Amino acid sequence: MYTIPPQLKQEINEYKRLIDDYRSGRVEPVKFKSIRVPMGIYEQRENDTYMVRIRCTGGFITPFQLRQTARIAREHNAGYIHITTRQELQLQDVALENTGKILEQLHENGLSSRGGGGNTVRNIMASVDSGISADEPFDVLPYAVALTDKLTAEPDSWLLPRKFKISFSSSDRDNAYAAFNDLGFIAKIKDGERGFKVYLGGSLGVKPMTGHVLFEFLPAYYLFYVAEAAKKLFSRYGNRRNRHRARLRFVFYKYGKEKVIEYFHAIYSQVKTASGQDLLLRDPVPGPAPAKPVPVLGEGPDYELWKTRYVKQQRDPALYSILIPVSKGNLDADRCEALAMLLENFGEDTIRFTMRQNIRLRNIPAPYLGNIHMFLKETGFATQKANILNSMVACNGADTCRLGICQSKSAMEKILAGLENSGLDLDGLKDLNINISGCPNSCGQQSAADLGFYGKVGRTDRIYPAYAIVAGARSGDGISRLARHVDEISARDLPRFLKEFLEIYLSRKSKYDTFSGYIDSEGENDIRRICDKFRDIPGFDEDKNYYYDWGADNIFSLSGRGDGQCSAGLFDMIDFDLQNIKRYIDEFNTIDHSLPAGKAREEINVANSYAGSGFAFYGRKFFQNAGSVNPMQANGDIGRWSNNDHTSGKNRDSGESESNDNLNSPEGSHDRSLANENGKNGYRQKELPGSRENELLYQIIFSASRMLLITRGFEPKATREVFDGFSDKFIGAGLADEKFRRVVTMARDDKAADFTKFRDSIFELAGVVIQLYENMDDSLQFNIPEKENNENSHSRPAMKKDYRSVACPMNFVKTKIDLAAMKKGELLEILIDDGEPVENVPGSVRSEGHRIISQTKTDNYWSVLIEKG
Amino acid sequence: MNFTENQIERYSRHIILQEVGPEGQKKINNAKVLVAGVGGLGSPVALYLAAAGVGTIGLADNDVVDMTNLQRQVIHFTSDLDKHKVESAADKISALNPDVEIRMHKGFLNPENIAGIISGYDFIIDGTDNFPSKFLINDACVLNGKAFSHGGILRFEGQTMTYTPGNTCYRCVFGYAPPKNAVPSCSQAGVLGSIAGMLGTIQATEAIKYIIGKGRLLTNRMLTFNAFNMNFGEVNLSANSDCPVCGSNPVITKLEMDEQPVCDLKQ
Ligand code: HEM
Ligand code: SF4
Ligand SMILES: [Zn+2]
Repeated sequence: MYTIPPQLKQEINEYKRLIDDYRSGRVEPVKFKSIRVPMGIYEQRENDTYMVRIRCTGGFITPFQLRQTARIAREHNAGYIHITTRQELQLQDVALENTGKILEQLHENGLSSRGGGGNTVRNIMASVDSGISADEPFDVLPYAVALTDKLTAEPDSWLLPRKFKISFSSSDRDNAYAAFNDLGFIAKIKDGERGFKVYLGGSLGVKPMTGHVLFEFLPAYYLFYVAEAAKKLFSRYGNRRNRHRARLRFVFYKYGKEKVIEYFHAIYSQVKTASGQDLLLRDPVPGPAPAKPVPVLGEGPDYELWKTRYVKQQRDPALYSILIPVSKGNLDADRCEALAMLLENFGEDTIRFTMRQNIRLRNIPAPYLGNIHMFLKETGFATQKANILNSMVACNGADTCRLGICQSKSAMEKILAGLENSGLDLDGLKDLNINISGCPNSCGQQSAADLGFYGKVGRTDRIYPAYAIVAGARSGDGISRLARHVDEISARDLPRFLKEFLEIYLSRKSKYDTFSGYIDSEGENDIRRICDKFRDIPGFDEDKNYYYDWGADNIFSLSGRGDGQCSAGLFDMIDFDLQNIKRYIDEFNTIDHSLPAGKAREEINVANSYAGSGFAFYGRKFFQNAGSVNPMQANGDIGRWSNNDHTSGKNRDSGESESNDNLNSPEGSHDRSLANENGKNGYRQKELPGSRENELLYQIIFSASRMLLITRGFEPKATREVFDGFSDKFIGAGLADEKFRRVVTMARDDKAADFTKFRDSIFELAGVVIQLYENMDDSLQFNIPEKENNENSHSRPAMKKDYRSVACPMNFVKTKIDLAAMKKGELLEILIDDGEPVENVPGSVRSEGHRIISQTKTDNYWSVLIEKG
Repeated sequence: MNFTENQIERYSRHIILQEVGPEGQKKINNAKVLVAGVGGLGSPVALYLAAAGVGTIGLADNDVVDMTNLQRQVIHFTSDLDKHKVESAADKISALNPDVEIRMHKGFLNPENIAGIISGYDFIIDGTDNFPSKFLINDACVLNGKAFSHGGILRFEGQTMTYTPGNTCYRCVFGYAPPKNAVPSCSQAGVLGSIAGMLGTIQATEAIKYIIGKGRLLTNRMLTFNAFNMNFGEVNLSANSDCPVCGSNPVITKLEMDEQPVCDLKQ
């Protein structure tokens, strides 16, 4: 287990006092929250109930601690004990007044909730099979624990711009998602030395990113220094103003990969010399308590089926690892206690919580498998069900989460109930990971799943609950990638969609090694084809069911959501135009026959397959023209510009303060009158392609011109002011090229002018504006990247060296170094001085086995030609 | 073969040696050596390895410098009293040769951490002052296939041998840690400070020979000396098939600490 930092006791006392002060009004809610959340205590959506997160590094806890946790939960009437997707435990539905006592009791049992929430170093994850799998270089848990000890003892770990997630994978399978965490490590051995491949900046959430490789191999010794430097990097460069752009990945988006890595190394080299403390590894398991002899019981019915589904042999063939399915990650106190007491018989190292919210037991000797099976059956764990019915993950969703759009938990229940009676070969879906989030914030980690869904707002004449479908994530050293957006489906049709899809997948499965392979070849099309069947959403009057979310009693609406943690305003206004530009460009690209024939069309096709969006093509092209390629863009980072689905998430945030049903629609009544005037006109109306194309171009100029005006403190009141404002504040100020004045003025003077001739220039304008935004810093200044000179093509000089005026023996030393780099038989010519040098050097060279081919004197120096021996 | 101008000068006397040469010097610059125990033996070893340009030097110790150390632990100065030995040594090493990357392991080597730590090194110097640590280093090196140099000094006498995988190990020779009080404790016996230098420089030399892969190592033989009479002797050894750790039926397969009191006078 991790070590509890000594100051925690005092912090708990302070926290308890604060609860009283908050209740009596002496401390305002905001202040209270700022202390409560980093303590790992969250408010639930149901007002005034709370949850307490318990740190479990790598999902590890001892049976005794689990038993104590169950008792604490019971004592304080916690609804249940919840396993999170970060391998922690959470006591759910507790009263605020009890949280202080809970923290104390956890503390007595060596457990801490510090950093469970807020802008902190979160629970450090580790592969659930680390230490028992056959393909790992070494067990990573001791490293995860040692790093936890170090980081949790440092005050600055609690004051970061946003959460900071760290994970350790014990093998190249990367089953702890190193590439999807802010800082991720994959165990490696190089020349016998233990170390890690290190990834930086990965995360899920809105605009997700796979991490960049920071070190191909980092000796384990430097683990702490790297973590410390990464934390400091984040602390220094993370955006503290806007929490929606605060995670480390946004630092990469803003400065580009090269710069961030450079900043990192600057900090790293300081940290390395400054702190001088390495990690002191110790065995995190407190002594292998000898297994108490337990009588071997029978096996119980269905034992063999259970074994094939849930039991795995460990590296040590005498021991077994067992997956215990925990429905929705929720355990009641009684079952939890009973399980803990059973496990106490098998030693301290028996429990890991999985990232799919289940429990994985380990170190169970073969004879006792039957005992465990009978226990699980008797205590009501769903051991008789196929894995897929137990492995699906859903975030809490809108029934308890204040930011949620859809009720993902209820949707999952509906799906599972449907699958259970579907007659499909569910065991054939054993390893399929399906994840569902209630909104694009991705707490359900759908971007890391084989198949995922996240809640969004659909719209006919009114709004309805819907899900975006993402698919094809992969993890593994060097091959990690996020799931990509494929299509969308109404919440109502989601269970039907999934059943049909899985049926098709099962019929094709044998052709593919992996699910992602299937998605890449046929799967994406299969998904779209099924979605086509569900494309028509009946109007409200035809079928009201589509307008109720699963598990909801009221018509779907976004009002009544809490105010969440959003900073509406500036960035949302910018985003609004940004999203519009992207949509217009997407639409433009889909108007096929308006495109010039030949090469241009080909390029656009390439772009479409490349990132799922024509915009990626234009974005890239014009970024390149602008002189510096945005590295994210160049990497083809999916999920960035490739679809406009995070619109709903973003605008949702802006909406919360306004409680308006239309907020999620980009054409919605965002409180910008101009949006209606210019953003909505004619969009989605069927018109002659030519005129639609022209109108889109006009809209692009409009949105591009307006997008950043607000950053100059300028709020246009009329359409004309948008164009004049841009000409003045951007073109006039040298932020955009003079050449754009022409199209901007045209747009100002005549909305119906023929813009098609200026298509390239208009797209370029959009690219320039977006790039400015990307390079905007927190004080709203644009850091325009300088053009880089790349003239570093050294031509390798012939092997000829001038060692005149180099004294003995340095002339000989240098000659030896030159020769060492050459191949046998190659020639080296050196120039040396007359006198001592020529008397000594050739002889010494010869005595080392080389051949002196010639030795000629010119003026007062010698040229010696040597053949390497 | 890219050396900086400074490096060419600094290492010129190595490079000139045919047996070292630029290739050997590169190997030294890329090598990683762990000095376990920065006391009497560790001091000269660390200084000579740093001077030679060993790329990475690990320093493992859990002590602070005290007055009684200064008579023989030449890397620590009077001004370092009460400073952590690892930090005191690190300061001297960086002052001597800023090329050297230093890894500081402040703490005891124990059965949990030693395998992870030594995995990062090519060669280990045993400069510890007690039998349990010496056996632990031996076992960890044998089980993980690492080479190390054993060194011990007492009064006027010293002994050293080098282990490389497959050859005679420390346990082949000594079996188990001797029972308490079977050997005089160093404080009863005392030690002549300068012999720490005699033995430590031999250990440093073995490390460098191992790194460059040249010369004849002290494997399968033990070098002993008595500085009082200034006699040097050599005992031939051979791997013991009954050795508890490297024999054909090893009984030690997992690292554990042999029971033994720590010597109260640090080498
Ligand atoms: C109920 C209240 C919750 C709220 C208001 C909430 C809010 C958020 C928000 C706003 C994000 C996006 C952060 C970003 O992308 O920068 C996020 C991400 C995330 N949250 Fe939550 N969350 C809640 C509960 C949970 C729970 C119960 C879990 C599970 C342990 C969880 C796990 C995650 C994960 C895994 C991410 C993904 C982001 C990543 O790795 O980058 N959240 N959450
Ligand atoms: S994904 Fe959205 S709905 Fe789900 S818990 Fe996170 S913020 Fe709430
Ligand atoms: Zn042996």
